[in-house]
Amino acid sequence: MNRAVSTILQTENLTVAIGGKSVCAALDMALTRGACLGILGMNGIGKTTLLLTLAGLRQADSGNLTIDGKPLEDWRGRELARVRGLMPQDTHDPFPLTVLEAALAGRHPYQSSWGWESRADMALARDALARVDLATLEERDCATLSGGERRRLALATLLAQSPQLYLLDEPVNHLDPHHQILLLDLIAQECRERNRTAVMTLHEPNLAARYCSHVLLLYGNGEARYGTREALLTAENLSRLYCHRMLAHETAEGMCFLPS
Amino acid sequence: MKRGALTSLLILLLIALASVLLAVVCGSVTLDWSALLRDSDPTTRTILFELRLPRALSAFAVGALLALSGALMQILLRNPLADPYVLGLSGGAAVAALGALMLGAAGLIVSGAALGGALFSVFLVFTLARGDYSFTHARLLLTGVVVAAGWGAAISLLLVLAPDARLRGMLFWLMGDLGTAGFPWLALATLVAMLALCLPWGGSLNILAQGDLTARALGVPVARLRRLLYFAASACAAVAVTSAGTIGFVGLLAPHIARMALGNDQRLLLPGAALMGGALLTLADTAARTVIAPAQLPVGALTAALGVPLFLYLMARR
Repeated sequence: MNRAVSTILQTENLTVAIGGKSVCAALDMALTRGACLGILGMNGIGKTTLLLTLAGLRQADSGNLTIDGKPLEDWRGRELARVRGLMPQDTHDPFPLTVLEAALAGRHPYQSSWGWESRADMALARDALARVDLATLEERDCATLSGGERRRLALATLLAQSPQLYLLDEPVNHLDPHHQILLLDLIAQECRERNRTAVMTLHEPNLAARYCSHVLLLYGNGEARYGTREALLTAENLSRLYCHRMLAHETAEGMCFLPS
Repeated sequence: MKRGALTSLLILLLIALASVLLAVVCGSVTLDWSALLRDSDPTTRTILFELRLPRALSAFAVGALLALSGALMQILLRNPLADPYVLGLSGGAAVAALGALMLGAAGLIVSGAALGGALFSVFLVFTLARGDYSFTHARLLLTGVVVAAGWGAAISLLLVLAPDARLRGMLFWLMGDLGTAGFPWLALATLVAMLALCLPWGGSLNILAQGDLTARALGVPVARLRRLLYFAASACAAVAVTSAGTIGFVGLLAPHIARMALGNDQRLLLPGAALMGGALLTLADTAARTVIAPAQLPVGALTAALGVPLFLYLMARR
């Protein structure tokens, strides 16, 4: 897709706080299409809060947020949902819901209010389920899925939604190594081949080192450092970030960080 | 997938029609149908068109309203245990209606009082639960449950204080009574209007059932939709309670029975629950006025007697 605006997500002076604690102060950041940003920081530092703010689902304390060249406040809900999608951290369904129905939810922003899912919607949802290895489970009730299967289903919903900007909250929680790689490879493929942009919160710096082009380090006192992976992912920065000494090891798969 | 559900919906429609037909045919007087065709028997016409048909349609409309209200409340609170009365609406209606009955009022005054009490409770809970404009599930549910508990205490107090002569009528009102309802214009109109209001939102309600955050991320106007749900569910329940007192179980059971047959797709479930609730209450009311005819049983007791075994059977079969 050839678009005039190459910057998909831009923040100016963005200040976010939660419960009197500063998450980031005066953050300036511009993400171009095709980039993959990892948000790193200790537990409870505000990674999810910032992600929801970037998704336009939570009010920032001050500053501007521009998505696809348009200020956030000019977006209408349904239009915005075609441009940016969110994979929330936990999903919980009190009512019966099949795997296919959950994936079809991603098509909702494209449907009229009286509409039923079209054949094309069904095909897109089934294709997304196949990509995350869930094609055989489409009639299963979501309540019977394992934690890892739920994460993959959440990604399938996002793939069916097919936004320009993917915002993912702990996408690889509950996943075994094989499915971690499968899922992150899919996201990387979306960025590389379809020029989509991903922003994800991660606990594991090695996955950020392997998949992210950029990182945002949240220190918890309002300090937020944004830059390329090469510039920021160093043992010194990570040691300060996690308040724990981290050691860098050169491996065949690239740089690897381990706690001492 | 959808074809099977549409067939189920059609079967529900046939069951609903059959229940109304049965209610018109059954009664303490056996009707001479050939007389009706000859158009020569005014008694038969009176029984049919001024007594049985209005009552059957009242039962259907009230049952459908309660079921629709229950289905909407379950989505609003994201809680499968929610029913039309969980937020205190019936309590407010009951306190006002019982108060009116205790003072010797009857007919329209009691209905008016019930409507006033219901609406008062609806606005009370809405105002208190909004507080900081969050209107979250837990806050709404807790506010409603506490208000309902308050009304419950007031009802007990009224029953204890009531003179013996009025007590029986008050108890019948509490258990629900379709005998006093006239032709159910208001209930039928409300049913049609609320279905028309909610059905276009069916797809969005499916998303809302998956959680507020998911729904907002997918572009559903969550705050607006939840206000719509609250007032549509309240309007249905208020009109039902005003028409026939606080009939229990239908509003909880009918949506679940419909859900077992149709799945949780709100575009099918809302009309399905309404048909199920209407059929259930029409059958219960027919039984209530024929089992020990010419005396009548409280219909609320029979909705439970019909609904509970049906529900348990369906649960066990899954």
